Amino acid sequence: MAIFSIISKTKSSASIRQMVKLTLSQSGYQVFQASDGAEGLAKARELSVNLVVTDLNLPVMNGLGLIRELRKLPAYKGVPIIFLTTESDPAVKLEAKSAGATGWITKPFQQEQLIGVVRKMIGP
Amino acid sequence: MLEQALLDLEHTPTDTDLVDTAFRALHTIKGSGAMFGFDAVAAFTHHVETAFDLVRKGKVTASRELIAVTLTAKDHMRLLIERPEAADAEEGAGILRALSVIVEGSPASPSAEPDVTTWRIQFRLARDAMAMGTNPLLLLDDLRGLGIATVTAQSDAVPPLEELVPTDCHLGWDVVLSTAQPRAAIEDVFMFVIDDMDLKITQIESYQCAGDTRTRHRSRCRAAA
Repeated sequence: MAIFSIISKTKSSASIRQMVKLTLSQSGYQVFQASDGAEGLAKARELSVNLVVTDLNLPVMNGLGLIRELRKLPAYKGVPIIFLTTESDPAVKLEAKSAGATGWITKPFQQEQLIGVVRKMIGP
Repeated sequence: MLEQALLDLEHTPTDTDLVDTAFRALHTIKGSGAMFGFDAVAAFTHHVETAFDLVRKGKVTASRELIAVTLTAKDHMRLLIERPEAADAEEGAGILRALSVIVEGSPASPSAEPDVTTWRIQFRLARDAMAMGTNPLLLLDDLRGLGIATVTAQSDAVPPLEELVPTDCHLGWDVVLSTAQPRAAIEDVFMFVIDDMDLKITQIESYQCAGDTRTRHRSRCRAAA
């Protein structure tokens, strides 16, 4: 199964970006990456994936904007989209769900939590 | 399925997975029998299921005698399903008496199972849930992972074909779940969709079924035996 991960390369996000890539790859998933919302949208049009994992804090186009644009693409109808957030504020989750997100993971998180949410979205 | 679980249990009587398999098979036979009007099957199997529930809870040991009587009971259940006219009521009563004697005289196994609660979970997702990436089948799998579940789909809201939008979610589900997990574990299954759905979780005393007659319980009933 293929997963598309959009997490920036900034200093604050680099370690999460690497952890997500490593954890998912080691669990047998094919992982595609982008580092900002605009790159993510452009790549998404070319890819066929089973799941999208996106940070909300992205340069160029933020995560909410990316999620809204992805949901306009016919190929992404039905594809689960997980967002990463530092916020436990329900309003952030509500806004992301309204944009079209399926689920979320609150940072910081362990590898097992990431795999748990991924399996909840697309099965074992 | 039931027969194989019992035969394997003879060799490994403390294997809790085998005990669970046997219990689930009996549970299925009882429920399917009740749903399709095989009242004699349902009533007979209820007693055998109860005995295996006690084994699951560690209150009764899966002894050779219990397994032998259960295998005989399995043959009687099959007869009640396939050729009820040939089933001898006295023979059935004798099997249940033997079962009762074994269960009442059996010592508890050293490690007791935790208490099991039965819940009825009725839910309907938002119409656009699947388009937004939620897979209802995975939610049902998560519920099954918590214990023993009987799932019935509610199709009353499915529109005529010409009006059907294939990515819309029109089905509801009625799940009876027996689990040792707390209610919070059930709610966790729906953590990402709970704000957008209709969800009702009710503790119930015993097995109840939603009664969707399109569920293929007859074949499951035979396969389980």
